[in-house]
Amino acid sequence: MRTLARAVPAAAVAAPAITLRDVRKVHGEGDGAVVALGGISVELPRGSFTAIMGPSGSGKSTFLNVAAGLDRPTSGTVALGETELAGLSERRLTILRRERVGFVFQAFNLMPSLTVTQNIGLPLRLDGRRPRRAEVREVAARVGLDDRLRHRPAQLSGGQQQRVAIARALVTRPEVVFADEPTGALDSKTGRGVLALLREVVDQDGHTVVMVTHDPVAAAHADRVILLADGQIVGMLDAPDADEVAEQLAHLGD
Amino acid sequence: MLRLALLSARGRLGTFTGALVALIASSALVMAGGMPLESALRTHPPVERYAAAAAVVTGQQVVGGENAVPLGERARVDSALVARLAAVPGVRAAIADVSAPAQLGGRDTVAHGWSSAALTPYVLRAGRPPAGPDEVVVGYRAALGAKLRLASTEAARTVKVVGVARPRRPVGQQTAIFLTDGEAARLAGHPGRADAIAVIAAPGFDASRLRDATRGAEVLTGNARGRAEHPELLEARTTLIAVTASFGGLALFIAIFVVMSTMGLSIQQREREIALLRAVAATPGQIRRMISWEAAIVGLVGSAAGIWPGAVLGRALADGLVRHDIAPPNLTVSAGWLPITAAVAGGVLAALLAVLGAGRRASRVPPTHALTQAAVEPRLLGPGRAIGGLVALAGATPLLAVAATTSAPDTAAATAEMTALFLVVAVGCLGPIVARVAAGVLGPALARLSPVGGFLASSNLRTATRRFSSASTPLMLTVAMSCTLLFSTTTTDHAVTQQRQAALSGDLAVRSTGPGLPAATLADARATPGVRSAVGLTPTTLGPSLGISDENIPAQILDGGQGGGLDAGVTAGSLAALRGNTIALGRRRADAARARIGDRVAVMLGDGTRTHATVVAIYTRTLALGDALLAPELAAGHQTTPLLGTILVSAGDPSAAAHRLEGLGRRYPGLRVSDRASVSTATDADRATNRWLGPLFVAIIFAFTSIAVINTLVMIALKRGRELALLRLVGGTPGQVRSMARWEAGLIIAIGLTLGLAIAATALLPLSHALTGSLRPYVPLDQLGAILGVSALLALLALALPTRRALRSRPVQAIGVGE
Repeated sequence: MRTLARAVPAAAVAAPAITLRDVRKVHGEGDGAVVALGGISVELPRGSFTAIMGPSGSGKSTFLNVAAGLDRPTSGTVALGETELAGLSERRLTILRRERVGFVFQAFNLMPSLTVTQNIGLPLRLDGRRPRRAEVREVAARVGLDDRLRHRPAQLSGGQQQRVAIARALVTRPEVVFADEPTGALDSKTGRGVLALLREVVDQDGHTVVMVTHDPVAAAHADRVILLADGQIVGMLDAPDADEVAEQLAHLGD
Repeated sequence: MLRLALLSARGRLGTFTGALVALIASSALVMAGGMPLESALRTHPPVERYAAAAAVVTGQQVVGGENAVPLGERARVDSALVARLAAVPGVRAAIADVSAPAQLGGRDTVAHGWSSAALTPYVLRAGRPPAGPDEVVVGYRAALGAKLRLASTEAARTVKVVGVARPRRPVGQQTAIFLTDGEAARLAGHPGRADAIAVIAAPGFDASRLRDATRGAEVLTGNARGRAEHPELLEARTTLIAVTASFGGLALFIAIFVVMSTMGLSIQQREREIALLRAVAATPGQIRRMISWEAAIVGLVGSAAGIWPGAVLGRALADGLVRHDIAPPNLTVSAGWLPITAAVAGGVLAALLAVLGAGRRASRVPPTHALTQAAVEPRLLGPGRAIGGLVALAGATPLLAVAATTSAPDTAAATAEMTALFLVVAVGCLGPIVARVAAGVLGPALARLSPVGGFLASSNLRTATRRFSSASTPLMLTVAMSCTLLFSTTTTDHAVTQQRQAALSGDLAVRSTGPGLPAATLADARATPGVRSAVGLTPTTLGPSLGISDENIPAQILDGGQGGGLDAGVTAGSLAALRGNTIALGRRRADAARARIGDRVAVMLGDGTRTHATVVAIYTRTLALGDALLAPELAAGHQTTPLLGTILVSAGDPSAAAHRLEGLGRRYPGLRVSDRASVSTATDADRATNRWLGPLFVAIIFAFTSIAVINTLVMIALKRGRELALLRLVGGTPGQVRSMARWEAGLIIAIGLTLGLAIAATALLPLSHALTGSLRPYVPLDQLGAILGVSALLALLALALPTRRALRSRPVQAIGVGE
């Protein structure tokens, strides 16, 4: 088992965005217990774009959920910036997620009854703030949707819906944006647009993005790919290209 | 497609649970409503006392052509017919039968002439036939030679049991005693006419010859003979059929409504799954066929499953009808084909009809929606809803007009019911518009009041109009129907009671615990020291006349004109003139018949006799006294029994007078004296029926609609899992999610209750105005509070529990699992 205390770029002297130490996650108990994560330690630096890959059942979704504080590890610790998540109540965790984490899911990202503006402003509203129009418009413009502000999700294409989801994830200026198969429900052209957008928010706005995907082309947009198999990190690729990733993935089964 | 539908239905029982619950409950409701009706339809008066008669000749008990009306009093035949019938070939004997109400030794029975004994036949076990006016043969177990008090239509006297007879065939409906023919006819009090003439057959008997020999009379053979034995059962049966049919119809209507709305909701909720099928290249036609098959299967299974619990309920209901004397004791209760067919066919057809529109829309869902946002709300109002809503509204309008003009409590109540039903359907169809309007009105305030929960709830209300409409519809149904049914009864009862209090303002009332008071009691009461004045009041009916063609007219025989504290609210003429061939009319009846004081109007008496009477008074208190008051001379001989109902007494010193009047009990066994309060509370059988049956029907409808409320709301709340999960994932605390759910529940309940109350008010106002002239229906606040409180509480629970469950699961899983 390798320890991944890698030297980070000089700019990031502060704590990593996400730190996992010896994280184990076991689903179920006794004979039926399934080890989803088998003692993982990793640091994800600020301002980086990381892709998590692996075959089905490799633990990549569990990784994302544990790292995002949606699920608690069986043992080990998770830190968001300098905040240890272990001791936090469910309520504190929710508030922390609201303030410091953004999410983009594969589908069903948006409240069907809210307009684009309202969906983007929802995290602020949940935080007890009244979303300011300029604030929301700025983020909407960032994802190229400032002409669709009064539409409802049903009136948008799948790609547009994912853009709204990204805008909503960004509106609180979170430390980390987690994306779970964000292009899974999109055709490849629309998917590329969404990935390019994620790339931009890392490069231009300095956000940290962690994305789970099974698509080597999607993964190629990341700074680094972490490969999981059977709950273990089995490989890492920096500045990957799609062919390289696909080849590594193909060998995971061996 | 059947295969796919079967697989789909089997594999996804959960999806159909809501629809099944609705169908089972609906089918049970229809069974429960239909069984008493079918029992009533199949029950005929039994043939017992006329068992040995080949044919029975009676007067025309049923009048009218298209709408046959069974008369309220017994229609008799001329005794002279006996000789003519006896001369018909094939007739061994023709026997005139009379029945006089009697009480022998404290036991209620019916007195006949001894020659009637041959009709059953009753045969002597001991003793001999009666030979004198003070001798009696008893048709049940009794001691020979016993001296017993006989009370009948005159002062009681002592008679001697000279014979004991037993019927050859069981006689269960009543017991009989036998006097001499002359004594029985004298007590019956209608000389020259017989209740019935029974014919004993000889070889060569032919009923058609009898028909030729009788003119205007009715010849009954076979099972129909029972109608002559118990003409009162004929009228009771008509009432029973009307009561059970109105409940059965109401049950069927509500059941169909609930099944349709639940099935529609269930299809609406499966749009994602349907879109998936479209994505794997099922054609819209295939989808429609699959949905139809599913609806048929679910409809059939659900309806069939509801039969048994419905039959249990229906049996209990029918037994209750017998126990409360609303149905005759010989009511044969069974789960026949009528309610079963109605329940199953109604369920299946309603299910199919419901998926017709919903299925067409669902089958047009673009396949791409399977993978993206399936929760697309359709346009505000489809053509089906729009048309249905407008038709129902159009149906309600003339009913409102009828309700505003009628003066008969029963008509008013039935019309109010129908109005409410039509309005429920109309508002149910147009519900999405209501939700949109409510969102527009309440939304901004709500968002300001609660920036998170209220804001989200009102946004949902604005866009998910169909969901909110589906959710509030059963609540609206519950409140609208329960309030209309219950408060039409309370309003009517209250109006009747108030009129009685005003009309019957005497000090004392004399009544009988037995068959009634002999006419002579009135004179004796008047002669009692301390009695200032007394009048006799006896309920009767008029046949269809005076501008009414299809039902009997409630009336009273007023013996004694003015006095006794009776205040009919006379606006013209005087009741003092109510002697001889005279009549007093309620104002509306007089207006309808265009009758004024001094006019001679054509009336049909209770036994079908047509005659003319002079109008001597017009009065207003018709809810208390009926539409007509008859002079005793007008009605004499045309009643089933000549007994008095109630004697109203006004006295200087009521308690002293009451004491002396009680002394009359020696001459008139069963006589009871009570104060005026007991007179003014509704006492006649009809109102008693309503007081037991009305609330029971309301309770059944309320219970059923409550099931619909819970079922629908749980169905809806269970489908919110993804939305609640998403809300939590983007940072909503459980408290915020609950707050949204609570605001939504509040909106659903507020919309449902408000609409329900508005519908009930619309239906009740014309009823109240027609009966009392006031626009305020009589609504006991505790009952209203109970209806609103219980339905709101049920709705809260039904919404809160699935939300709690949704909050317990992990949001990431909930959002992944999908719907």
